[in-house]
This record gives sequence, structure tokens and C-alpha cells, in this order.
Amino acid sequence: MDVNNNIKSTAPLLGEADFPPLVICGEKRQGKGEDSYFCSLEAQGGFIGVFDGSGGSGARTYPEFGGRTGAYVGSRAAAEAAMEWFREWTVSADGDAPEAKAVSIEKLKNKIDAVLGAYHKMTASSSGLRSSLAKEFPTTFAGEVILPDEAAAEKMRVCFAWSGDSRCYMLDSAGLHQMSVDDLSIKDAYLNLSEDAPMLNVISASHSYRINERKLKIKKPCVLFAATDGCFGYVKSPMEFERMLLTTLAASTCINEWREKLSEAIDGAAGDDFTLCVLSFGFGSFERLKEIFAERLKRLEEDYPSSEVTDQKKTRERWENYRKEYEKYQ
Amino acid sequence: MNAYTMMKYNVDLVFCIDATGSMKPVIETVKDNALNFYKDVRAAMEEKQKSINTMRVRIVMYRDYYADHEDAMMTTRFFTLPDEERDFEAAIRSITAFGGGDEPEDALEALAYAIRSDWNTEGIKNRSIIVVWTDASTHQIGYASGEPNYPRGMAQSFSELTDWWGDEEMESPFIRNNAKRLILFAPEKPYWTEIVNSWNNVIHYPSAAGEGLQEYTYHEIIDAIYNSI
Repeated sequence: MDVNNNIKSTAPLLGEADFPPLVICGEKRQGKGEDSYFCSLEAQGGFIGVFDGSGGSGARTYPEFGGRTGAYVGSRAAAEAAMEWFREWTVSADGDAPEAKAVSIEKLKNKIDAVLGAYHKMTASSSGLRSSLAKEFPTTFAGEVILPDEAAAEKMRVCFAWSGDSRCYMLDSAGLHQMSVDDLSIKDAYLNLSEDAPMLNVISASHSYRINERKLKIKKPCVLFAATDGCFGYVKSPMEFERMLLTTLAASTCINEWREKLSEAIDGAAGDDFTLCVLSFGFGSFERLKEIFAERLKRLEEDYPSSEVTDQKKTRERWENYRKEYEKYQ
Repeated sequence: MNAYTMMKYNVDLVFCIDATGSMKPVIETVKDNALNFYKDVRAAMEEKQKSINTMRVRIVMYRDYYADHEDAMMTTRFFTLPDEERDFEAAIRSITAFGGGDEPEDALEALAYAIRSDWNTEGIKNRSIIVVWTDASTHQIGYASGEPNYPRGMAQSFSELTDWWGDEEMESPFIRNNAKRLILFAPEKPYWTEIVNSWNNVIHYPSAAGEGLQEYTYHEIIDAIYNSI
């Protein structure tokens, strides 16, 4: 099994991406991280996707995969399936048939099912445990397919897709928006930072699951993110995750420096493996990206002062205001 | 000012140990396993940089109400580890295997005691873990309810005990759904099979009190305990 943690790029993405996909990732146990990702930028469209193997239900180890856990293998298998699916889509999208250009999340699910099913057949032997907790190769997924909007040059067509608690985000001048809805028993992003809510839906070879999808036209300029919960799950409020994105951007002089600073910031906070994939559109330059979000950071500091982050009552009140914009697209 | 949340776990363990006569050949191994179990959970969590705030452990030792009367059930308070490690070890070491009468034992009553433990619900991340070591099947719950020392307020049926455990749709009144794990080192006999088939968050290693457990399987169990699901 190849581990496909690589960036495959960079044809002239729609001619409009500001930089190749940015990937920020880290693992808590070197070489044993259970996150994976796949990003690609092609002339027909772009894809960013993250996968987070579920360590609790996927704790079984497989001799067939070098003693790796189901969580480790599952996240990589699903990323591999996404890569195949996207590659096939780019080929079909080159044709003239309009239906071939359509993004089908059902086909992505079929592809993931085929790969996980094949892995399942390879590993038919049991670990000796019987468990109502265990799943075969469980993994979350959050991904975004980005296409040009031929009818309106100032917009893009984006298909947001997810299973589990990994998230799709969009950042524009109005702030950070969570585009996915967590497959958790609690949907409130602030409350979920202080509750260990069980996951209600996750990709696996052994249990039925769904891939949620939402297709929207998004106005440029904006930045798109796909993130595993290690990125956003260890801040005191969703406002702090946006502040982390913006303060590291403000302190950077180029895209690589932003990647480094953001990676350091997430690594300093995270108690888990983390993976964040980023694509930005319509800014034209890093300077313009910084300029637009400097304004947004100023407003964020005014509306949600960083001096108040330890005041739970005020944070709760401010979250109620912040979430109106944050959840606008849900 | 700190904008980040340090996730600290409060881990509670309840060890249910069958101390009937048939356990004599394995009881010392079970005691060693119980003493090592919490250390292994702690080590695995620390290796994955999951910080432990508190760790506590209590013992529910059980036999058979009908055959063993006042020796049928012994429960301890929670010992806080590592501060009360010596007390905990002394309590474990004091267990002796005897009695039991017929082959099924009153393990469901022991599970009921365990489920209704005074779990730590403080903080964000909790783990409420019950571990059972036995070589026998279980009586129906209430099998010895006519005995004078049988506890009052016990679940009246397996169905009621199942409600005490709860599930995703109906939260248990006693143990948090996302925190709980039930680990069974027990044979494939009634009611262990029913439990793994119908209760959530259960891991069953089918054997007599964990005999023959391979190291990689043991690690799988430990990893499933502390990781989120």
C-alpha cells in the first residue's frame, strides 16, 4: 500500500488559485499519525481533502499492513480512493458531455467502498476480539472540490463533502465559516470544545455510512480549508481558531512563512494529530491576501477581544454573536 | 492568557473480579493483570501525549449470593492513583478464590454495582472503564433475590440493567455514554455474549479470565479505551 501523502499539482488551477495547495500536518507519535490527505490542482478543478483515522474504533492492528492500526490504514485507503476518483473525474471532465463534468460524491463513496472492501477481504482473519466498539478501517473525511463558475467569473462552484468530525471551512472578509455540519451528537462548535461527543457517522468497511455534501457558489476572494479535529479542537472557542489563522497570516511575509507559523501554532495547541489543507482564490498576491485579512483581524479583535478568552461567560455570549456569520452557510 | 485548551483526562477504572473457587488456577495472574492494567493505560496515554488529570480505581469482587451469602460481593471505594497505590495493591492482593456453588456466578449484580459507581464527571474528557475477569457464565440477574443479603434497588431484569448501561439513543442515568467502556475477559457464555451483541462500547476477549491474550490484542484493547470513538 502506498501512502499517498503527497501534493499532486500544479497545472494552472483554473488560472486563479493564488498558490499551490498548502498542507500543514503533524503527528503526535512520529510515524504513527492516523491522519492523511490528498490535494490536487488541475486545469479542470481543484480538490483538497483530509482524513482522520478513528483511533478508538480502529485500534485493531493488521499484520497484513505491517502491524498498522485500522485507523492508520483507513485514512490512507480513503485518501487513495479520493485520489483515484478525482483523477478519473478530471479525465471525464475533459469531454464535452455536461453530465461527465458533474461532481458525483456518490461515485467517490463507491470508490472508497471498493478500496476499503478490498482491504477488508485481505484481512479476513479476526484479532480474537469481539467488540461493539470496533469498526474496520474507520476514518473521517472533509473535502472540497472547486470548479470555475462559467456563468459568473467572480464566483466558484464548490462541492463541500464530509463524514464525521473533520471540517470544511471558508474564510472571507466577513470571517470564518464552517461549511460542514459535524456528524456528532452535538452540533454546536463551541460546545463541542468542552464535550467529548460521540461520532454518529464515519467512513468504514464494516458499518454503513454516508458522505454529506453541499454544493454552493462561492464569491471570490476567499480561502478554503479542510481540517481534521486536531487543528480546531484544542482552542477555547471557534473565534480563537480564526484568530490563529489570521494572526499567523499577519505575522508572515510570504506563503511559506504562513505555513510554518500556522503549523507551529497548531502544533503548540493540539493534543492530537492534525492536518490542514488550504487553497485561496482571487487575491492575486500574498500581499493582497494579508491586506484583506488585516482588516478582518482588526474587527475580530474589536468584537472578540483576545483579553477575554479565559472569561467563559463572556466567551459564551460572544460565541452566540459570532456563530451567526460562522454558521451562515450551514 | 491562554487561548488553548489543555485536554486532561479523568480516568476511572472499576475492576470486577470473579473470586469463586474455579478461579483458583488463574487468580494470581488476574491480580497481576489488574495491577498492571492501569499502568498500561497510563503509559499508552502518555505516549500519545494525552495528559491525565486524575486516575482512580475501585474493585468489585463477586461470587454467588445463593452459595456464598455475606461473602458474595465486596466493593471498595475509589483509590486515587498513584497516591493510594499501596492501598489498592493491598486490596487486590487480599482477594482469595473460593466458593461459588454452581458454575454461573452473580456477575450481573457486580456489573450493576460497577455501572452505578461514583464516576468522576468533572472536566472535558472522561473515561469510565469497567473491566471484568471471569471464567464463568452469569446467572440471570435476580437469581438469588430471595437471599437475605441480596441488595435492594438492584436492576430487576437484564433489560433494566441494559438501560442502566444506556446507548446512543437513551443516555444512562449512571454512566456517560461517550466516556464508558466495558472490557470483558470472559468466556463465550451467557450473558457475556448477549452483552457484547447488544450493549455499546464493549470489547470482549473470549477466554477464561483473559488466558491466552496476545500482546498485540492487549494493545488493541488499551488503545480502544483511551481514544475517542
